[in-house]
Amino acid sequence: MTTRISRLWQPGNPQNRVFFPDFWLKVVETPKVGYKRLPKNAAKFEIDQRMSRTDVREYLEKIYKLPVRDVRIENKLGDITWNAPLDKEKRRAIWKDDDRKFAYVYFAKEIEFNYPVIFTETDEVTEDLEKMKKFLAEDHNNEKFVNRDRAGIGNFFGV
Amino acid sequence: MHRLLLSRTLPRLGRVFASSEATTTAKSLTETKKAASTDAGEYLLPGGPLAEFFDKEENFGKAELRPKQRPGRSWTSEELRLKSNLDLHKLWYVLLKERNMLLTMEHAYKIRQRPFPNPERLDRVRESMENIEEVVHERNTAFLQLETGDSADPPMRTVTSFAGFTYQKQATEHLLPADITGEKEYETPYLDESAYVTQKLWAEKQHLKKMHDADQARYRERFSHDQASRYGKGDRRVFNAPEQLPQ
Repeated sequence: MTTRISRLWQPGNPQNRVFFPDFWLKVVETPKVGYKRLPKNAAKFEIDQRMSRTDVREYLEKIYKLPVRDVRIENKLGDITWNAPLDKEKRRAIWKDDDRKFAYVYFAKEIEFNYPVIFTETDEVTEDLEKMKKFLAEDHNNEKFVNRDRAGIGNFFGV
Repeated sequence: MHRLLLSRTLPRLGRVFASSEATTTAKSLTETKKAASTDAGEYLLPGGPLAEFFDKEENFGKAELRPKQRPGRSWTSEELRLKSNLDLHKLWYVLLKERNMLLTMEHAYKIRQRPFPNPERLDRVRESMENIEEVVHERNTAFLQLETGDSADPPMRTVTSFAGFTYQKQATEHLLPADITGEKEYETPYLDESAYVTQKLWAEKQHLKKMHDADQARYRERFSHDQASRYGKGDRRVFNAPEQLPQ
């Protein structure tokens, strides 16, 4: 019925259908070199925690019309911030990030997926940043006032 | 008419929010960005097989989208009530794909600590989806009340936690009845000693909070009349004109 209400299924029942699926999928980058590199016909997705590998397969085949060959799931525990990380006995957790679920999806051999280059060196944002950095590097006005009570001792002994 | 809509909604439009100009779905649906084929064999889109997960090339790396690229507002419940079930179903999947695309882009920006352009797009998609759910729920309720007399709301049960607090929970289906398994989550159980004491102390604390708030309200009320400034602590009163002197 929906992903928000779970229904039991027993052999002999008709197929459980979901008409308005709530699941989300994000494509995630993978390194181009090293042991974590994926083959060209594979992609890594971050998926909703409630999804199983059959859900991922159905989702991609029916909604995105992609020929899925294999789906592998990885559950990753969220990072924990400890108050005293090395004291394994008595440390206390201060914060824990949410757990995440990843799917490694292998498509048919004909598919070749390369994560697109979204950010380049010459973005308008990076250009503005570079301009600002240059401007600040040439701005020596504050240096006249910052250490004026130090009798010309300089920066060797710290500011 | 429906056939026309079918071939136009399935490509990733991404802009099927009702903007201020677009008054009808027909107008917004004719703005097809990619003529992606719906055949099962042709999955190779021009930008790559997973191009539907990514935004347009011209929006890459931007801090804020150009006005033409900014989508309109979310779909309201009133607008959605006019649509047929088939249209709502299709719109749901358009919104779902749009949401996936936005989440993918947001992730790409986040890991590089860069601001995601126009993050309100995600909120609008979410609102539209919530409104579709609301409208579909209304229609389901109407149908089921006619047929069965019950509404389409999922049945809720009151569950008691270990500390004695009660909360509402959706009823789940079970394979075997409770008198065989011996498990019934939503009965009102006997509380053990610590849970009983917790509930008594909790009730006492809530009561004291109410009394405290009432006390505070009465205290504030005492000084809500004209002569209140005479009893308040503060600096010397300054009069800038003879009219301000006390009468």
